[in-house]
Amino acid sequence: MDVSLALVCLGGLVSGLVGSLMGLGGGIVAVPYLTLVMGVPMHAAACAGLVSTLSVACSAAGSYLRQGGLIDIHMALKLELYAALGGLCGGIAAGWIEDFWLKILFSGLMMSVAGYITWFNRGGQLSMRRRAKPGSIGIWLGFGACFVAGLTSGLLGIGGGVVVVPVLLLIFGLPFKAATATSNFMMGFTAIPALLGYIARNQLVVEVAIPLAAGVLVGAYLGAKLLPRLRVEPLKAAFAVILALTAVKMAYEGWAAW
Amino acid sequence: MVRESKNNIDEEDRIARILGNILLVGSFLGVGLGLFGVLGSLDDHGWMEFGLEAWWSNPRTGLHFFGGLGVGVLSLVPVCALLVLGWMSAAKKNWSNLLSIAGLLVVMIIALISNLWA
Repeated sequence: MDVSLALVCLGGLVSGLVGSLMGLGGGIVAVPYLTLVMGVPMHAAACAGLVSTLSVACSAAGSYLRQGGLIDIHMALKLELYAALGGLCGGIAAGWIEDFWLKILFSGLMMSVAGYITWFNRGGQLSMRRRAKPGSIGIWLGFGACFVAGLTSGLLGIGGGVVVVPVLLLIFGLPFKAATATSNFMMGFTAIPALLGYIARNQLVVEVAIPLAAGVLVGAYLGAKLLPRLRVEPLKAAFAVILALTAVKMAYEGWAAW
Repeated sequence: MVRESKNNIDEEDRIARILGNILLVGSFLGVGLGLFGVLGSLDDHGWMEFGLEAWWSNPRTGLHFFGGLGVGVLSLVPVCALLVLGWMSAAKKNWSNLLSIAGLLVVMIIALISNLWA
């Protein structure tokens, strides 16, 4: 595969920056960029997405842990068991699923995220009404959602925070900042079982994964620095539209290859 | 009582800082090693700039070595953090955390074995 190192790195930087400004991981931007712009096969792109998720999750969780008091380690460990199981299943399942199916699945995910951002931007609130009691259906729903987050992460190479953060907010009653930090801490562990599956199938393209991870790492850092100085609402609206259009393009490519 | 509770908070802060340092250093080390491999293999003379021409005549060998090492370090960092957390939880007799950590390690071992076997 012949890809330009500078273009991959630049794409990673933009993905990390945009992801950080939108409150998402970089994978939701990086994976479509690699497949649609750089022509990287979907499996290799998802694998590269997992490597960048791993690097960003580790550095972000490291910073949060050093700040202290933000990550609920006890809850993260409990939920992570289900997310890691999902990641393992997702990593294995990705080996059975054709490239075009992954594209179609990813386009569905992008549409959902675009809808979620639009709703959030229009004043939608994710706040806890009642913290679920231990052993209740709500708790088991939370565990199930974490499994789904891991499965999505393993299949599509994203972090899974888009599922985990609402679960931590709505079911487990964490404040927003703590939910984001805890989700970052969890993502690193979720990515490993899935990544092992991709490596075993020889789908790790180092010259794509590493420059992308480096770009996303720098971009996420810049995004975190820029965030307090920018008005993100108009950016979010534009991003939701771009994401929806990209989803259509990706679904079309998947459908055409079917 | 108050002193014991303060000691517990200090201990938790210390654990969090250790874990944070492991994750931060590991993530940058992993990406740095991988980038070293990628940059070194940019052209036929890439490794000479790093003084490694005697090691690899083919730049792709270096790419795979350092790239693989970078991804390996990135993957091992959370596992190391998990082991440190497990050790601390065992010392504090926090069985609930220890059980979750053991479960997570089992999932990772299953992932490793199933993929090696595949």
